[in-house]
Amino acid sequence: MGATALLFACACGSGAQEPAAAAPEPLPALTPAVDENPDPSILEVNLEAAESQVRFPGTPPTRVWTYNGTLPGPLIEASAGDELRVHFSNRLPESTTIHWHGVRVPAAMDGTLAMQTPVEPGGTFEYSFTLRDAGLFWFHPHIRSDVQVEKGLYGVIRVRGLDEPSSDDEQILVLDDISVLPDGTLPTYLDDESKMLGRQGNVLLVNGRAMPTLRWRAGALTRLRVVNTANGRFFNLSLPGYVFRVIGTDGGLIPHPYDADRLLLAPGERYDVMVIVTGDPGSEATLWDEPYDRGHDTGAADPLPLAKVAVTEDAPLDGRALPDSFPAIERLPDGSSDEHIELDEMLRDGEQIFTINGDTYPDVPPIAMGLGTLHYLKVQNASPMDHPFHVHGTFFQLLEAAGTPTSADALANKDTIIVPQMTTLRLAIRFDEPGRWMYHCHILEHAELGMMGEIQVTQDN
Amino acid sequence: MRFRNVFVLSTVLFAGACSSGGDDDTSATATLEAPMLMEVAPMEGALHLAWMNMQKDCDSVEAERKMEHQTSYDLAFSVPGNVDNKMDTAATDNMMYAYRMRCKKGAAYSSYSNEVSANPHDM
Repeated sequence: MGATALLFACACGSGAQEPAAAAPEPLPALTPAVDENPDPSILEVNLEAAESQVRFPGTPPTRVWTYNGTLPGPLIEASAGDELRVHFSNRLPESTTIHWHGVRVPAAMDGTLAMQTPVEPGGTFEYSFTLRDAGLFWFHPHIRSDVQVEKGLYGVIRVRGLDEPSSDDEQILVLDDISVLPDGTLPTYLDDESKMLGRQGNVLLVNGRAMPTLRWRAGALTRLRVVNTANGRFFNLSLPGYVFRVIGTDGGLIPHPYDADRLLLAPGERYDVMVIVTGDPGSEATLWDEPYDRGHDTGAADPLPLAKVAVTEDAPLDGRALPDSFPAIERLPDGSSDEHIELDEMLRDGEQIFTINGDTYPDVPPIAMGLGTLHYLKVQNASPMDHPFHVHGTFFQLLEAAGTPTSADALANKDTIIVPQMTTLRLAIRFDEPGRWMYHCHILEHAELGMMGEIQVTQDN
Repeated sequence: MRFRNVFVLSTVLFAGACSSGGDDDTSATATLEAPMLMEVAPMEGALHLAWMNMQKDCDSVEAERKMEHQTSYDLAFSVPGNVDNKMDTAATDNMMYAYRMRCKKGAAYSSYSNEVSANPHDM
């Protein structure tokens, strides 16, 4: 193994020097947010961002930042069409906001500095909007997001639709990683590799736990709702002996499910998959994070164990079948690209920066779009590493990657997509809410170091 | 820009972490282990350093740099003791730069690491 490979395999970024061992623990269920409104179509919850304390394997307790004291924060459960009201209070020592990643909200509710005054320490804010789409979404700050998300500020929203597929079991897997120093503290110094790759921690987490055990029933049709909340790590999941039936992604179910040996999730992405548990009762398997070359020699890392799968001793279920189709979604028609976005990285005045069309946010000229009008983005990655491209406020569809048109079977609504190194994507996009919407790389360090811009949507464009 | 595999691990292991002696003005202490300098690689016209902190509780890690026409080292940078990489954006000329590192804890220093050299223009 080369020196660089070793560096990324076991010491990814600041302080990540001692991968921690973990005792087996069951996968923790996410803590449900408490609905305080008796109206079944209104979900009214309290969220408080505050410092809290958790213990990671092999180190003293770590002070983290959480929503409502848990890592991850609470699970907000709703049905499509519900109104969500969030009474948010900030008990952190710095200002913050909440961005509702993937949720189509009015721009004033989107939690970005383009549209909202920061919630100062001790301050409050009322978020209120309708959950229009079924799917798995998440929420996190949009101020100093690289720091605040790394410290633990994120939670999940599961919105159920009318056409939910049936399954025997369903689990949400919130993937993350965190750098924990031997004394239990989190690094405060952002080293140069963490700037380049995004922070990559020495402790991998599923629902806030290192190496938990997922208990599955033999023969069961098991649905997994997976979200990558990490700052920089791409999770490339494999489960030996299993194939993932991908049934949905960021924007909900897809019409044509497909099978995948590996499930690659960039930061911010979600996938909805199903498996039929083929292991015998009492058997075990390991869920791995396989190496993936996203540039800068990252592909030379070793596989990392992420969770254990233990098949229970219950009598096996039989006769289960994986779904092979779901209702159609609207296909946005193709058209010629009218906006060019070039992603790049460079040193400027001795500092690493990440650029859009050569500029760093807030100096990136905004893109103007008309409300309800189809636009086409040519997103060109001129850098030698992948960037997960995220757009707020709507979904987009991939039309073409590296000159190859997307097949008719690969239709999906996305809000975050990997733009591979030195590759160009063409995307179709349409906004149905006016306002200033952010787009950025979801490697949060890249966004904070400049790779972010605005789309200004108005009636008269 | 890529992180380059300039040195394989075996090379570094054989080179070892050692005291280079010479012009250090602070006495080394045998109780602190020196870092192991793993890589100095050209990156975007500068040099990227990666090392292993053999001592886990250093307050800081110092890197010293020597240009090819120099006979002694100068301090290049100092980073917190848990950090294991740094881009030296001051090393931009077309020449060989040599590096060595040491751990600092309180007033005590480790011995120096192995030395590694590279030219930022050698892409």
